[in-house]
Amino acid sequence: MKRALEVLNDLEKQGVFSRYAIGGAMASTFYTEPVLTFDLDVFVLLQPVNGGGLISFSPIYEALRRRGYEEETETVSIEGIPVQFPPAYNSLTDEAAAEAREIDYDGVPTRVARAEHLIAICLQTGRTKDRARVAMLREQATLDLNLLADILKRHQLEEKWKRWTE
Amino acid sequence: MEAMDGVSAEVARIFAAKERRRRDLARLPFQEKVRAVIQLQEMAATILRARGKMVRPWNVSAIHSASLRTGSSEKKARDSETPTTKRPAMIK
Repeated sequence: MKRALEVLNDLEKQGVFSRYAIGGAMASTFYTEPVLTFDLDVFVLLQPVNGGGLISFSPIYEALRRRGYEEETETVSIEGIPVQFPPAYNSLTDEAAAEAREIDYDGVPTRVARAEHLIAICLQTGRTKDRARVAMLREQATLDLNLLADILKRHQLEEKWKRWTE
Repeated sequence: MEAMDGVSAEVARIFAAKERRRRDLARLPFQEKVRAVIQLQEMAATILRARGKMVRPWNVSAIHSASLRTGSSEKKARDSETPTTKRPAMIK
């Protein structure tokens, strides 16, 4: 995974995206017991196309293609790791990428989304597996409950949190 | 730990031990957890493929060939990232 992270760091340095952070199941695994997943989800902060509101992931795929990393269905295999750039692009995933925590992975600097943002994203996505992930994060991660409450309030997720945790 | 009605003391002890194990796993360094994920992928792949799912455990020992590169930033071939000796299984 170290090499995949080096590639992502290089893309960030080249300005293909302004910032990235590990999300999804691997981010959750940072805080909990390891869970089975076959993809590495990566949140990215992108600049709108031509200064407008439209966001395009094409520059990322083009940059990766130039480096010899081809798309395979919904992922790009980077140094043996299927990386997915989740298309559900909204203010919450933006915030998750912007406020991700800096970590060191085997000497390579990288970022992982905060557990509180992961919970909020799970609430927003709402699948059965997201519910299981929220339960696991509640049990095993050290949560900043004030931060979580603030995130839930600003993204209108308080009611769903109550339903999921009753 | 949540209440478990109708569970014998022995089963409760087993569940408590499992929970402790999960918390221990949660405290592993991230690199160790990534190795565990790859082990899980390898264990699950056979079963999932038998059910018709196309899955592929991460190949983090893939050596990148410079001949695949077409851009200006050529990458030279590297040694394998992971050690060749098999690590003891971390997942029970």
